[in-house]
Amino acid sequence: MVTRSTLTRRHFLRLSTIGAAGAMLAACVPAAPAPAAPAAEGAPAAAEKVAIEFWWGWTPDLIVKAIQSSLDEFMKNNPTIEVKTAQHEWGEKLLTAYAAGTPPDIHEHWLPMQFAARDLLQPLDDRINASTVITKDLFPDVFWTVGTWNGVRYIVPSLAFFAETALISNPVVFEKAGLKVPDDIPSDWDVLFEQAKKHTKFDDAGNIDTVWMVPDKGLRFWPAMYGIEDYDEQEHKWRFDDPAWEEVVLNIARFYTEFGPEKIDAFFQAYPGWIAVPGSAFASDRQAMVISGYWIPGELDKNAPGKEFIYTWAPSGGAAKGKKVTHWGAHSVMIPKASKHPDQSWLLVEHFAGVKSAELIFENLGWIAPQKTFWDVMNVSRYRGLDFFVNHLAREAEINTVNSPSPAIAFAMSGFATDVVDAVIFGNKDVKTALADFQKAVTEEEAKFFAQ
Amino acid sequence: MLTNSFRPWQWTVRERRDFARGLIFILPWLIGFVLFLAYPIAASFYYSFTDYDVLSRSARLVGLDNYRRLLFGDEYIGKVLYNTIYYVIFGVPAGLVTAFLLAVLLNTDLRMRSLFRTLFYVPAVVPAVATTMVWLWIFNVQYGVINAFLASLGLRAIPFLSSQELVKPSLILIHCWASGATMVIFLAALQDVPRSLYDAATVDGANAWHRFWHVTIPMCTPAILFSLLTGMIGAFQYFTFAWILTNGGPNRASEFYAMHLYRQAFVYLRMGYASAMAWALFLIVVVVTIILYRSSARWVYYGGEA
Repeated sequence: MVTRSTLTRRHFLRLSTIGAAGAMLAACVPAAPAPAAPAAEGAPAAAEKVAIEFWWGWTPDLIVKAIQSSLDEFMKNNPTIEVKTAQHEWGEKLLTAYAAGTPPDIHEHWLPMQFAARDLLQPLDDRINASTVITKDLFPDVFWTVGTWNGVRYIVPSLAFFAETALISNPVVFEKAGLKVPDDIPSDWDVLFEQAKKHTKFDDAGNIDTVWMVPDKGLRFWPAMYGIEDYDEQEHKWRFDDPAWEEVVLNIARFYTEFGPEKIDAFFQAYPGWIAVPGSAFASDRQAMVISGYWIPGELDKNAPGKEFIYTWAPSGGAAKGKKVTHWGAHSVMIPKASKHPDQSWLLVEHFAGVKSAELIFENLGWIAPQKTFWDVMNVSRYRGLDFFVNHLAREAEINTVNSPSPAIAFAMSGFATDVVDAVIFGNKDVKTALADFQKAVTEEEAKFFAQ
Repeated sequence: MLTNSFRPWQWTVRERRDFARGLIFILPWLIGFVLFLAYPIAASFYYSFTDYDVLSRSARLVGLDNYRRLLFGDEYIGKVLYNTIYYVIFGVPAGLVTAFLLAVLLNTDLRMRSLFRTLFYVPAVVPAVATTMVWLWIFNVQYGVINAFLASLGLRAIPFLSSQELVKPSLILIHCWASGATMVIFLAALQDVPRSLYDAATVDGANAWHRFWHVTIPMCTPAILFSLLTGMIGAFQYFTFAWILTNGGPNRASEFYAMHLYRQAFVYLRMGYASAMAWALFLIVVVVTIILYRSSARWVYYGGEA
């Protein structure tokens, strides 16, 4: 008698489904830990290696390698800690990580207040007070203000933080224009503007061939250069309603409207990139002057070796007219509340506050770390032009500013160039209206942090 | 076997078992749909009624404030809507016409036709960011290919991306260049046109233009409708090229709705307002889609209809 197989199609499908589901579940279950090898009698247990995530903003190779050299030194001295890195470019990567509850264990940022004010960072006062590395006088007191919220410190100044408002001139461009350095380098915005009108060159096609100087539309340096108190810390209020801002905006705008904002935009599209990269207008002898900071001597030494540039005081106006001014800025490291390894991250913070880390980054990049212990031993003659920042800008400035300790600082920084300066340059608004509207917007943002 | 009406309480045991089995088979997709589509959509709707800055854990309910800001309180909304509608009105038809003409050309007996089809389709598979970097340099006012050629003829440079007037047409030009995917759809539609129609038209005395206008295009109208709808939906969400090439400049002349939305969410940390913008965009797209679809009864010909 022939018997039929009991495996029907339905049974086969049922068994396959159960098998597939079981396989999927098995794949999801974490592997059981391997049994530990019995320790030799008397031998101490090996310390477990911990991996921490450290993120910073910069992406250029030169900078990544320089910071990595410091991290390699840290890992050599702390063999149980492995530092994994990523670059967040001060943008969405870090925001998304915070929003998802998975920020790195430690990260750098130049505008930390937005995180501190939102209760996203670990308070560091206890660690700082207990530290033998980060002593009271290690950094200038004012450096702490960029990340101190409601009297609590959430950051440690780190990696790069120094005077950053020098006028840097390219002698080659001056010479082509028939001018001499340093005699013809202006210290006044009106003189600079007249020079720009005379010496900005155009090619036969009507494009800008050589730009003399184009002021930065961003907010950062202008409070120093015009002697404006941009933020009232007592009242937690931005002061874009100060009439002095009108002069600032009109000063910036005239450079753009004189040559055409679209032509300037097109010019910088042809010479993109950061000031100190080889293809930039400044390093390519297509731009006479730029206002920038302490990182430039080192970076130009690496990216435009053999070329000489001249460093002088930035032109000043308004209440600061005729005065020596500088802004100080402003990178710090901080430990998110959600950090999985805060203790190990703190060791990295202390490492960055040491002289060795500062020396490695200085040698590889030319950046000046914020700790005074490094300033005492820094080889100022290592990079041409660094002397101006260290011995003049840092010591002789009569007006010194740092980033305002406002929780809405990121909003102010990103909005000023577009919502105020561009609005005036392109004729969308007059200067009073542009500033009034921006004052309203930034006040609204600031108020969110004090609403409850 | 399931009945046509969904009444689980009336099912037999076998029908319930069958339904459960079906659910198990689609469970992976269903989980993905709920986690990555349904939940974010519902969350976005909720956030549109809140003040939520992404970084904070909690969102504060603010009622219709975000929608009020969208209608009356955002000084740039008019400009970004204008830019977006400009792109939809001019960019979508330009892309369709380019794709259709290319498809017509490639449907002829051309030497190396396969090679040309491949070449014209390549832009559709090249990553958008890579494409953008290339166009950045093609359009470059001093060193770009086009302006270098013009300079060699002694002509003035064209400021493709730095002129408020030319930036949108330049972006539309890139869109036309990248219309390979639409071209493939039209090519398929063209090859589906029965030869007998062309023969009949020829017998009736139709010349090439008549055959094109009265046979080719009507027979391709379903594909045209599909491409128009999908193109329009994509155009309302235009983002990548403009974000990388111009970042909305100069003077927000190339700031599109999706870019403004993104900026509100991730630069200004106004996720609640950005969510409201997203829902407003959804409504706009739905309305335009319905209008287009209703109008299609007048101009779309489905073969087989009386």
